[in-house]
Amino acid sequence: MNIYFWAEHLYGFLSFTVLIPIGLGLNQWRFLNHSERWVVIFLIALLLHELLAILCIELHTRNHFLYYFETVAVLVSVAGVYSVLVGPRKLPWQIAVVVSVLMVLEVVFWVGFNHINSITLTLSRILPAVYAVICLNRLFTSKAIYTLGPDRMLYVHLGFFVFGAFTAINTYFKSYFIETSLDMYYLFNTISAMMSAVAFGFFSIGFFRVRWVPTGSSLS
Amino acid sequence: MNRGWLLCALLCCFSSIGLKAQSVTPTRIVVIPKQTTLSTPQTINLTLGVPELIGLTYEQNDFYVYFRVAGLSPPFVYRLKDGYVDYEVSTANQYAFFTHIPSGEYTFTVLWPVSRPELISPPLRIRIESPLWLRWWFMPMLFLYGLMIMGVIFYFLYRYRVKQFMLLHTVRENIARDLHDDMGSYLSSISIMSQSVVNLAKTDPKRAHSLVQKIGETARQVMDSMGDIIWSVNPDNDSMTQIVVRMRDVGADLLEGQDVVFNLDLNENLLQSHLPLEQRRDFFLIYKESLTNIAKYARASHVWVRLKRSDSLLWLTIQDDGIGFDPAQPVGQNPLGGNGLKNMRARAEKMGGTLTILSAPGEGTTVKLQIIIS
Repeated sequence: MNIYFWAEHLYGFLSFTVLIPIGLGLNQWRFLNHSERWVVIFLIALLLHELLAILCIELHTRNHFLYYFETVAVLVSVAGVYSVLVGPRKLPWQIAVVVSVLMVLEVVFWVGFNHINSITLTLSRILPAVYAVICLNRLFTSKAIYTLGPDRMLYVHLGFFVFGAFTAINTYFKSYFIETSLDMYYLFNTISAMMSAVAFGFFSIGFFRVRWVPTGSSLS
Repeated sequence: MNRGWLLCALLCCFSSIGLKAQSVTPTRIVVIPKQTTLSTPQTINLTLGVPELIGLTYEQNDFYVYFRVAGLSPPFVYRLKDGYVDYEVSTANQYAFFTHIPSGEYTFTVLWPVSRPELISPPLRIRIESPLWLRWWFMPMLFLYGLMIMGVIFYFLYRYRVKQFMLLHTVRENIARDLHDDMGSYLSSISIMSQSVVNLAKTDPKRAHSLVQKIGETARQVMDSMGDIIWSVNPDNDSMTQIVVRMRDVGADLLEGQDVVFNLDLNENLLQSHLPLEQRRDFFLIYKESLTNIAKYARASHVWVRLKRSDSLLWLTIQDDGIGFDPAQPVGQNPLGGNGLKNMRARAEKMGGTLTILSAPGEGTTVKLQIIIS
């Protein structure tokens, strides 16, 4: 049992904290607004990616192709969350389509099949962080301070900001670290998983507050 | 003289032939793969030409350099040198093996220290690149990245603090204004009237008695207004449940003894809503002013109050079956020309809501308030 063993298990434990917001979200599903439902779909997509990755590892199959599906799933679900919150209604969807097409080009003409699509994967992480910053800025500008706490969307935006901002760098260098340095790979992967767990915590708080505040943000 | 030049030319020719015979030709570099024993070694073929600089990654730092040497016998000394390290290996083989060479730019040469110490082979330049995270830009980039994230977080914290400060300022201003407007005028009246009572006590006791009654009435109004202010700033009353309780109490207080049937109809999901401080006070005062008007002027037998919520909209409807009035000339009912309706409209506007008053003489009055709540 070396440090990699523990890092692997810590990563596994942190990754599966995603079950908490998923459970809370599904439990409160009928009370969730449009954006919050897409958050649940986003979380389920992340969970499915982890499960399929584990399955591939167990089958001794190279699983980098799963990142293509993860990229598209994140792009689509984030567009679903922010389509009603950011810019013209179709803009997040248009951006998602453009990045998805770029991903195909990256895989076919650049990295090759079953290699990590670092650029578009990173873009898919930066986008939610950017959307979240826009919405957080709007929340802080437009709402009275005591209405911020009960606003469930505040936690959604905080979650996406933490998730996007802290995992983007890991996704960008992941491919390089896998091929060159296990130490760096595990270090960045563990930091990324820890920050993702923080983001899942924010999502959980948002879903938990559904019991007291039946409607979402006035921005939604 | 001519013989001398001929001799020199011959010497140069022979020496160049000798050097050519002793030339060293690098043939290939074989890089030993790491970690995966199944991989085959990577070979860089140099027979077709030696590049000016051979680039290897930081993981390709275990390698052989194969040479073909003509015209000179072993032992050879192979040297790999950069500004900091100098590896020298003496061998009889025509290859050199280097392992765990740190990143850097090296010059590879071959020497013959025993047979021809003055000779040195043409240099072969090899660069072993640093890993990404040891390059100069990686740590500054991480630092900037962290700085950017922290910058965004601190920006929002700053906005949060400014907002909080502004809110506190607004709350203090509102309380000060309310105290000045409500309490100040009442207390001034009490002060003036009490002075008049002192002056009139002996000369006109009847009027003094009337003034004392007026003082008592004003004091009750002060208590009432003070109660409203305290109620509105108390955070426990943010919930709609507390607001509804207060509305019911006020309705009962104002209309009791007037033989008016008071109906309060609520939407089911309404009680889970919250009205913040600013909205709560204005909302409640509009409601109270409406009921006061009904109690004073409407001569109604029924009052219906309906409160419902639809998404982020809150609707308050106050309807009576009283004598009604002409909304274009409301002062007709109050000869003193009060500011009640004007204040109600101003409060609705302040909340970002809309106030509609529907009335006609003999047809009762309906007051509708619509506000946006979060």
